[in-house]
Amino acid sequence: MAEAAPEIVNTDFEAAIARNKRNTVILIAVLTLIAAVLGYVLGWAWGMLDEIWSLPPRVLRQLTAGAVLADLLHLPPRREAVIGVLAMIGIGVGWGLITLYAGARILSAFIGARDADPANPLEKQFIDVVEEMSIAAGLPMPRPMVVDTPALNAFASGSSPERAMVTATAGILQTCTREELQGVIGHEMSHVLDFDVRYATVVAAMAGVTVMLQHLLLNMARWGSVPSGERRDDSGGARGLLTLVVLAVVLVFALIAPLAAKLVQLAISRQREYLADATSVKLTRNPVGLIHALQRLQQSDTAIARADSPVSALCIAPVRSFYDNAFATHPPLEDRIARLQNLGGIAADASPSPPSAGEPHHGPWG
Amino acid sequence: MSTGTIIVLVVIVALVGLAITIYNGLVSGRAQVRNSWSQIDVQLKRRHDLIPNLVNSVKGEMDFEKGTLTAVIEARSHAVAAKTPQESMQAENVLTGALGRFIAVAESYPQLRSHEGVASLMEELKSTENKIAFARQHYNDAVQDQNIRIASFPNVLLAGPFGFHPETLFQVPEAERAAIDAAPEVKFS
Repeated sequence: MAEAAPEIVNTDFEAAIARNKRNTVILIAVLTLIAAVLGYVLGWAWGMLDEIWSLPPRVLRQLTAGAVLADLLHLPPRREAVIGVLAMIGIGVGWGLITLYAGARILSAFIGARDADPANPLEKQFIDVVEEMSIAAGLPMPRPMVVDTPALNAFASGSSPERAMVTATAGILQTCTREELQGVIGHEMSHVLDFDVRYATVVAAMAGVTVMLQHLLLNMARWGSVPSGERRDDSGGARGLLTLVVLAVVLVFALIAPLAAKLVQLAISRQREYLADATSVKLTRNPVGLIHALQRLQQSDTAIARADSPVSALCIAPVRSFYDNAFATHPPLEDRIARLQNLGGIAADASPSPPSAGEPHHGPWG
Repeated sequence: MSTGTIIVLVVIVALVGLAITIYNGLVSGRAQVRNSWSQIDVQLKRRHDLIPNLVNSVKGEMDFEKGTLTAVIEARSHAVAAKTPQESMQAENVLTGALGRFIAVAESYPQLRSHEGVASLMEELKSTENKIAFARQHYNDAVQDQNIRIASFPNVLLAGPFGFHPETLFQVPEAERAAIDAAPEVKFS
């Protein structure tokens, strides 16, 4: 068995699926927590600044920097802090839902996808495989679409199974055998089955809200929007000092939170990819097809022209495989292959490699 | 109303709510099972409709393989004529076997490749066989899900009284497996 042993130690894809779903729930909870913390800090800062600038100087003298910091953790929390939390979560979910319903058709047009043509034998095969997988999954058939590029990739889109689309590149249709195509389409159907588009969009919105707020705050800091000279400062500079303390706290969170949120978002994305692989095995009952397809992908270019990050998360393989770490939307191909081999009870060195890469595969009918 | 009464009422409402959720889940599960069973029939019927076309396209090329072709035609008529579900399942399994042999034999005939119409028909056939297999697989998955649902706690308390019983999995009886597994006989002219 490989050095970096996969965490799944049995050949039960149902258990693998359950594990992945649990991990996703945990990660989403963490993401919501990050957004909530940022909202809390911002709300607190708003309330705190208001207080600093409206207290009479006598009372203000009792307010030290330490007291301001301690107030951050004071319970019950300020009204403004609670508003901040609710606002962040509300905006994140709301934005997610809006993008969800507007998103799918825009995406296909952006990529340049067209409906699959039944007159073309390879595309007819693709249409049939999509139908077979939708029967195995018990879902309405998604709309099969094709992108004319030699790159090897496929992705699923659409916010619900009724509105789903599965897109494949001409490259992958020409290079993969029917068995491999089944594995790949099974993986894409899994994204549809597990509502991954919905998940990915809401998660992206949550993470996006924190990033957006960061931009907003840093811009505000540049304009110096907390006026120093205009308001009356009859406290001998104490107000100014305390304001700086509050702003420092906000700055720290505003820098860390979006980064943390992005990392969690990408971790969720990778988790869902493992889930899609496991569900693909559930649908096809045959890990070998997907294993061979992933092995082919290891050897080739997966970039779909003009594709950007929203597509990348839903593809079979990352569009730009620069990253192999915390910033990747997909787990490394070797790890995915190892997990699939484990699911199939196949030893790492025993599985035959796919028909030579680079050579388009022809079925018995040419 | 005393606090005690209010608490009792809340608990009762919550229990009723839970019972409703359980019942709806069981209903939904049973509907899935019924639906996936009819999917199988849809695909089987599709196969019946496909075969006459196939036979006409390859008849000329495969005169020396008459045995394999005839087996398919006969199996199909039996399947179409079957009356009871039992007969139907048996006949369909025989047809699956005959078609499997036919596909294996046909793939070894280079001259058939030149016929465009035949190529797409073979794809249709392969796809139909796959669809039947996947429809059966999905039926079994749905049955398994429903059986687990019925047997789990707390559903198990309500399933019986509500009239939900374990469903049966689709299985090919041992005797009929022979019909499907028989090795293809390839005759070289």
